[in-house]
Amino acid sequence: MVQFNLLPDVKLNFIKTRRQKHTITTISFLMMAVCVGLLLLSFMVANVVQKQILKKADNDIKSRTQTLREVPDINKVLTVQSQLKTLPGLHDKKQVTSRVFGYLTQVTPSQISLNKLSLDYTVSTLSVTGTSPTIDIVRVYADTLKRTTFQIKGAEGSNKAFSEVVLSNFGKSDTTGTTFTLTMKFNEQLFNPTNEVTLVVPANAGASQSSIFEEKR
Amino acid sequence: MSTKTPLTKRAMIDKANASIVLLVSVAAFVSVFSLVATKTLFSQIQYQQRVISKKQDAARQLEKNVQNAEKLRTSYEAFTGATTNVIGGIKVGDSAKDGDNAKIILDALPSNYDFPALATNLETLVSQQAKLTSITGIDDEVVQSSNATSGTPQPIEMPFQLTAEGNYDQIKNLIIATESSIRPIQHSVVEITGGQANLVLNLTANTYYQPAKTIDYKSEVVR
Repeated sequence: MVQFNLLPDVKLNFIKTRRQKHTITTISFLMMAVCVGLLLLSFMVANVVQKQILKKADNDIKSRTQTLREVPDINKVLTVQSQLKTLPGLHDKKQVTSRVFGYLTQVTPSQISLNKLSLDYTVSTLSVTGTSPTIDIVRVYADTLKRTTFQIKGAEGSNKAFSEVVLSNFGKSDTTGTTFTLTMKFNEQLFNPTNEVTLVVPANAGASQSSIFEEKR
Repeated sequence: MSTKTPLTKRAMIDKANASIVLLVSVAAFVSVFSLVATKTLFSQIQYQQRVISKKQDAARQLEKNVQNAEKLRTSYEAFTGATTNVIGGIKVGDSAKDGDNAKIILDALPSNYDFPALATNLETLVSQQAKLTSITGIDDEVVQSSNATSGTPQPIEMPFQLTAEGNYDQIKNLIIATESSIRPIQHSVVEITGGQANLVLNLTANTYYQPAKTIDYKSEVVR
């Protein structure tokens, strides 16, 4: 069977174009509506909703700041609180220098008299200068210092109290006997206020004196 | 008639095509304009959201601070109202140990740099134990005045040197006194020379002051 297209080409094109126009118009208006809608929504959020929230937050901040300013003596109260918080740390940091007298009494042989004691916490050194009847006692003293250990209450084991013990100066004369200077490094824990330290001194130290400095000067 | 109809249809097709082009152009322009404007507004929204978030945080923090300030004030009143202070002195009295707890704390860690006051304190402390020979240090008040207040104060060292004379017990007691002072004194170098009856102590040490704490209101730039 033969079919004839009785519509002319131009008519077909016209129908096709009209359909196309309708589709494109619909899509274009939809697209514009979505885009303009988004624009309006963004505008409302940015310039109405968020501005309101910002205004409320600003008012809250202003009123609460004012309330805080009106608390009587607030800066003094805060200062006392701040100092109170800092003080224990500062007290824990300071060294207990007075322990050195007890330590030296325990390790210094009774025949030795000291005339100078220097304790430098910045480099952890201890230096003692004194006199002794013989050089042998100075040797015993140095040996005692080298072998002295200490224990911390509540902690296990013991550590060396002094290291790098050096006879840095030495002299002998008929009138003054033997003069010497011993320098050494000390373990910082010896003077730590939070530790309860017990010195463990070798048995042959010969330290039985109550005064470590020279009796007559 | 037969020749006119195709021409009209063609004209209508051309017109329709022209309308489509115009419509698409307008739609494209409006859409692009809207999208660009939306993008700019979206950036503004994001930025404003960051600002809102920071401001709300600040408001919440301030609310907490207001509540804590009241509690702190109550605790402070209880602390300073105690009849016996933290070092065993009485609240109202004239001796060195007397005064309310706030005064004791500010004596232990002053809130301003005052070297002359430190020298006076040290003189009193040393004189109770041994003979004071000298107190030296640098009065750094002009430089330290820039640290008068702070939102986050830190302790600042005040170095000094003192020389004192006394017998063994006096010097030992003096050292113990510096250790047990309510004002923290950190020894740097301790040098003792002389004999049992006449020792000379040279002490290099630091004590501290900590600037007053204030409520630090500050502005922050949100990027």
